[in-house]
Amino acid sequence: MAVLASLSGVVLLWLSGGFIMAAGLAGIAAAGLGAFAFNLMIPSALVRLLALTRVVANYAERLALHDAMLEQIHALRLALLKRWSVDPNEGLAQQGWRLQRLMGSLDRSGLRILTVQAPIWAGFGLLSAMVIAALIQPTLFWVFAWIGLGATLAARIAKRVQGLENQMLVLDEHVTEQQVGLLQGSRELIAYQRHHTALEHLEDHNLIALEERIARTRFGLGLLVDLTLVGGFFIGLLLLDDWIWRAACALGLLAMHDPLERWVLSFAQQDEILIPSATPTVDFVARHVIAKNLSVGIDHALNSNPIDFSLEHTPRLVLTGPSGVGKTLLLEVLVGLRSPLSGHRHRPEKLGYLPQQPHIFQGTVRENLALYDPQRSDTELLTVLGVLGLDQRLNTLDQTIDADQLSGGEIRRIGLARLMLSDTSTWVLDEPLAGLDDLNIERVLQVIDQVPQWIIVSHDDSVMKLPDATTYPFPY
Amino acid sequence: MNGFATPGRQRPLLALLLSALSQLAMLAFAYALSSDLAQGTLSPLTPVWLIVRLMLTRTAQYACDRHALGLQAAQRREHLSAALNSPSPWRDSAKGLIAQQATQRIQLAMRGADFQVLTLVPCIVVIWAGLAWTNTYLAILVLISMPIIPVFMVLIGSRTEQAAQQQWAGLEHLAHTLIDKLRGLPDLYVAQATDAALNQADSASAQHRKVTFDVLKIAFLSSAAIDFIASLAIAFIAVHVGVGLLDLLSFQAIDQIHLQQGLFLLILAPDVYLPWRRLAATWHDRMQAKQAREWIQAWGTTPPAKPSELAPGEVIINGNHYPAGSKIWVSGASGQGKSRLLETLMGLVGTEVNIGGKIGWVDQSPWLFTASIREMLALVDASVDDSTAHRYLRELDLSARIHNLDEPIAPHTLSGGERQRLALLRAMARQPDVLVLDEPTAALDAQNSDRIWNWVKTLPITVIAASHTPITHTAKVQL
Repeated sequence: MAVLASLSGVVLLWLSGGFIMAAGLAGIAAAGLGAFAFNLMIPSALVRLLALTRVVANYAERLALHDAMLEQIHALRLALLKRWSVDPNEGLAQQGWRLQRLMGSLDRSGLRILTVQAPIWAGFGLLSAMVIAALIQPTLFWVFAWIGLGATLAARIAKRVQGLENQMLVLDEHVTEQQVGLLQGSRELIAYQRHHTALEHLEDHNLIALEERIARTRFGLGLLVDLTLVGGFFIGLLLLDDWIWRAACALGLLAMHDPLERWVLSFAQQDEILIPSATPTVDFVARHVIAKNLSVGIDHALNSNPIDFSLEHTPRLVLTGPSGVGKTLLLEVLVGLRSPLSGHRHRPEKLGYLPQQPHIFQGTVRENLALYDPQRSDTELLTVLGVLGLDQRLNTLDQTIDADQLSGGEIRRIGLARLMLSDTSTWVLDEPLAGLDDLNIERVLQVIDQVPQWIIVSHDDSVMKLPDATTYPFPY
Repeated sequence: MNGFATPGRQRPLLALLLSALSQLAMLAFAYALSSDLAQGTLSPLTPVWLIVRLMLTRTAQYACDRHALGLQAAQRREHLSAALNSPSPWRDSAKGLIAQQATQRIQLAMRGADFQVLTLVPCIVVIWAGLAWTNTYLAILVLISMPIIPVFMVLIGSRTEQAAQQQWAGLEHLAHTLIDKLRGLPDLYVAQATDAALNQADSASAQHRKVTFDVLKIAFLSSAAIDFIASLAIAFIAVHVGVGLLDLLSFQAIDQIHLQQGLFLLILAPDVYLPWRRLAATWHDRMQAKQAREWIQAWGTTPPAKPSELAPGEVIINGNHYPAGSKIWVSGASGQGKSRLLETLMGLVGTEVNIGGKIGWVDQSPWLFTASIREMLALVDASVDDSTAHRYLRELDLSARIHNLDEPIAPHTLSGGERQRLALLRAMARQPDVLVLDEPTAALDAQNSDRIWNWVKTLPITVIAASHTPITHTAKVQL
């Protein structure tokens, strides 16, 4: 493809060279062939040269703009990943489609270069052209003053409706969320034979109404630009008395129409998406997991008394309490995924954490198991699969894992396998036994028993059978 | 499909008419202006024609926008309906996002490129007729230059499309890679192992940036080519007019041109090519809309399961018949297909429903969304009165958390056990003949789960429960 592009470039250059040569030849031929050849060929060669320059310049400008746009999108993607890699709090709440959407909005923010910055630069170009024209023909000053006034007014109005675009993004997000929600629930809706009627519950009338408003606003702003230009046109015809200047003014104003409109509309575009700068948060490393005077919650404290314990003294802790009191949240605070409301927590630098839903990465079994320690040998990986009873399901290390085909219990055991293959002696486990049958519960308990220090949240009482297990009731 | 007409075929006729009128106004304006300039007069009609021309163009665009917006709701429902009718839609809920994006893309194309395609011929014909009426020779020259534009567009366009498709596949791959890394970040963060993932994402993104730029280099050639031809042709007209006016050429066809005609031709010339240039600038949107339609077609459809002929409450499992009111325990080790069996009974897998009457279902990880109890119940066609709903809230121990039926409940503020009980409430509010439970007590402690089981067993309806923990006093189906 790049070859085709450069070839076309060469052809274009050759064409322009051809015209220049033709012009030269015409000059020479003029002596012999008379006025006809000379007079027709010289001006057309010149105008063609101008046309070609214009096209090439246009092409170069577009490429340069898009290059800048792509660079910005690339930089934004990396900034987002870096930000979340040191503080995944914000990432925690994001569902798959939201992330996909976020990627889309990064691309959109790159488009700003085209919809906002480029028209503004073109606006400056327009301004300098007007200044030069007014210096040559001072009468034009009045025309341009009028146009400047009208365009500024339109731009100010455009700035005031900037909020509409942001509002539209919010409503669009809402409609998308509903659509994704309907699909997530489609199992139940289809079982109930309700999936067609569910479409009636889609609330998109606000979005459409807002889009109509935006279309009206654009119509109005465009009309203002039109009237400004027609006014300038009228003033020009009235004040200029030379017909050449009149014609130049009329044609110039017609050519100004599109860039001026783009300039005005650039003020109605949404604000830039800013990704805050990264600040590292793991600053609480100690030898053991310790909670000191800790209080956890999303907006208000879920614990009635401060949480205090240290794995140095009670190395095997079973966190108990009814469902919904905040046990999972406490674990997330301990490992550093969330900030505590008050108090302090410490953790060893090397720590194994098994969330309720470990993430299965796209890739092979090997890549997923050796996630935290790529140096592990295949024999080690296969042994671990055997110990956890996963060897039937995942019999080769090179097969690609499809998370959709795995049950919740299998996913948790893969997460556990990762911990076994990492060099850690402290584990934090959230419901490691959920969705497992008795045989697998035994297997997992044996694995947990090999680890000197851990905290477990489990609804299954069998974890209490493990030697040295101490209960810590969540103080709700 | 589903009662919604395919809306893409309706044409914005009003917008089309306004567009053609606006070109006529352009002719009038060009004529008035050229006469003014040639005769040194100033007719008040000239700016009026200009205003009419600009307003008609703008109104045509607005009418086209309104037309597109009028079809938006039906389009969105059609796309979502396609997603819901695709095989196993719940496995891929991101189709909801794709349906929304498809709606947006098709709207964008309808307002831009599709409209340009529609108005291309009428707009060019009107202006060209104006040229031909003034000077046949130049009009024929313009006519000759015209077919070169589509040839260029097709030549470069086909190359671009191929390259763009590869680039698009690359973008999807990149987006999936990035999202995968982002979702796994919390796990990697706790293990302090994020560096490798960041490096992988960096190189994938840089590679894609390069590929995209290569595609753009060719894509822009097509509009540069149109620009080039248009510029040349306009320059050609300008030179001929100039030479003709200066009487430099003794060629009859252009020798007769006088000042007014020359100016008229000069003012109109750019407008012959303008529709082409506008089309080239928005062509990309049309390709994107086409692609969106292809995505949706690629989803395919599944035939709906045949409704069951069993009496309400009756169930057939693996060929065995269970009468209404049975309590059935589906037992099996994890991963042995308990959930699959339940899905088969309900007709989500295969083509047959083996449950008679109304179903109430509590899934392993139940689907909840931010809504009030009343909205949730309306969506699943539950018909209980308020006092019954309140009674269920109390019996399922939810009344401390949920105070009234109109308060919106965000699922992420509920614990796993609360979600399960809320789902049970929703299933019960349908007043089902058969209640289907898939590991409903997995997220509950022993005491709470006993409570739930005891409550469920007192119900006079058929209950099918899949669980790896034993349930007493039930008929057992062993997998």
